[in-house]
Amino acid sequence: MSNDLENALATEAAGAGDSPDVALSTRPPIWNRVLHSRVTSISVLLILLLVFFAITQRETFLTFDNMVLLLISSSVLFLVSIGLTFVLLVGGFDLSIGALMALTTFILAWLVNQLSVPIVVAMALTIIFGGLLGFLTNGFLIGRLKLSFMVVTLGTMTLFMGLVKLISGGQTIVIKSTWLVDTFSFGKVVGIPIPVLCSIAVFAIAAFTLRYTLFGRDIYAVGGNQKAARLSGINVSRTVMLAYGLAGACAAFGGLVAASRTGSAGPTIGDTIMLQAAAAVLIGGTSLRGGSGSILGTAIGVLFFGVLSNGLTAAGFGTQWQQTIGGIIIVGAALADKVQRDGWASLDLRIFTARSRRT
Amino acid sequence: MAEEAKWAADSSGALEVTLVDERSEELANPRTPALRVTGAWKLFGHVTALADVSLDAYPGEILAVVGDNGAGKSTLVKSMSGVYRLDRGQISVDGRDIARADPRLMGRLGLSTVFQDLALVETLDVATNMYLGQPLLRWGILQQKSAMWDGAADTLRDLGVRLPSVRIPIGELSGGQRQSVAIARAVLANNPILLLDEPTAALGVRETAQVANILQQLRARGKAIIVVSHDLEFVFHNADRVQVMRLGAVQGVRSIKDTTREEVISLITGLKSDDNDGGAS
Repeated sequence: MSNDLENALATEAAGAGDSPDVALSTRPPIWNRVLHSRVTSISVLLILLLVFFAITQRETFLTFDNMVLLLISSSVLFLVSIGLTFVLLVGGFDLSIGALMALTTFILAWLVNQLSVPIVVAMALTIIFGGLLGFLTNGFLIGRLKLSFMVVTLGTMTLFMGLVKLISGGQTIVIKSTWLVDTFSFGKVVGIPIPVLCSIAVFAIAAFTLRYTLFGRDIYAVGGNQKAARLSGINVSRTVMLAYGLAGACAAFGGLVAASRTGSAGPTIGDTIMLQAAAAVLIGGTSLRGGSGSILGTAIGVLFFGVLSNGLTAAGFGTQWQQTIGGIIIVGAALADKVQRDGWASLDLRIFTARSRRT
Repeated sequence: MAEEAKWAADSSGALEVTLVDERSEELANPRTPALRVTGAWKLFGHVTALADVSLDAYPGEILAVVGDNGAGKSTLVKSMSGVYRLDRGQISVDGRDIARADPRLMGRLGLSTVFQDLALVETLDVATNMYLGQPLLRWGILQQKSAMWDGAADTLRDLGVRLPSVRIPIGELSGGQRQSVAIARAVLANNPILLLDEPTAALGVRETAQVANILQQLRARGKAIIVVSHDLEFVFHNADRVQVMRLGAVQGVRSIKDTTREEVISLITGLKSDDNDGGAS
């Protein structure tokens, strides 16, 4: 044994217990965390955006009505994004949420129109249906049978889209319920529209679940290190299945809100939502690799895109501009993330490898 | 030999000890082993990873398992911790035979394993990792976070582990700190048997010393410790006995004070194999 090691051993043995730097904190290193958090940077960006629009569109932007409108128009994306956050945290992805959302609006229409199920019951059943569909298709195939999430959700996306076309024949179906539009969609409780209240409630439940429950911890553990989670006795397949189930339920909830805006089930209702949700979740700091991220980040990500879209629309820029700017911001966020984590020096900006390397 | 060992494991504790006594002149140890493996076989296709391997680990003792690459050390660890199922052979904990070992069952029966890759979740904080398999809960579903922070801090402090906080993610720790957290997690489980696979493989001198210090503390507390290691320096400084494996079989078991490094090396390389008897010493 080297003398170094022997000396070190002796030192350790003598002073291990009473060393002053053994003092262990049970508090998080808070400033470090806040400064390096993606939630912080996107929040700053959101505030800057708000300030910018508030200054440039003083009359129209920062009004109560516009803010309410912004929240209502964000609520569908918000609900879907919350579900997607669970899936990303568990280390997966769900391409099928948009198609599932469209499918569930037809389930709602069928329950109400054909079976005359009371609307509130039909809505509850639709959410349960969405959850079960996600749990039993994506969840089972990915969680239990260990198939690739990209292939499985690509398949179920195509399947759900096919089913929607089969059911609808490409047509929009009016949902025969005045309550859905008048009360659910446009009703207010203490001045806040019901869809916004629903979003806030789902946000609170999701955030609480992830932070304080055993299931929330399992989600992070499975996404962070599936093998370690399994060795610790966590039921990995069940956790993954539940995550996809939640994504399905949230997509169905989003579908309900979207259907309630127009009072109809439509085949194109979830067409762009999946990519928007992915953008919101990722910009909110949830990692594609799984195991890290938060519902708060997702909420801020959704608000960010909501504000961007609202402000640009008010300034006269169409959706084509919103999409272009949104795309740049997503790539920029990825870059910022890399710089924040590894520093500027980690960026290799050469497009072609230097010739000298090969020779 | 395998049959005899199997029969010994199936019999009552008293008979078991008598049989072991007959087989080995050195063993005048009347204690029941905390963990005993007898006649273990494990095959992967045509590769025989374990061939009639036996092992005894006693309370208050550090048993080192050494051997070259491909000696079957990791397979033995995974079999003992319940990750692999043995093709033949018996594992018993505190004299009780285990029919079908799995990691959760072995954990409940009193065996904690520190795997070579540590099995920590990098994105979760130290305390959550330490309570990963044994969370403190309220009403069965809510995590008792502050109790876990305190418990984790107490355990780490007790072991003299240096960390800034129990609430920083594992991903921000050094290799030695991670190793310490993984061991502390096993300590927290307060199991009588501790199994460590290559605990010093990725560590520097100071960190290795810290692990050694922790293991000595646990040994003093009467834990049965099994350490799989490449590091003969570490083994000779810390272990009480050493079991040498070669090509899936037990090449010899020695008491550290009665052997030399040269002898152990010749057992590892196969130059010497005088007591290839299945291992109980």
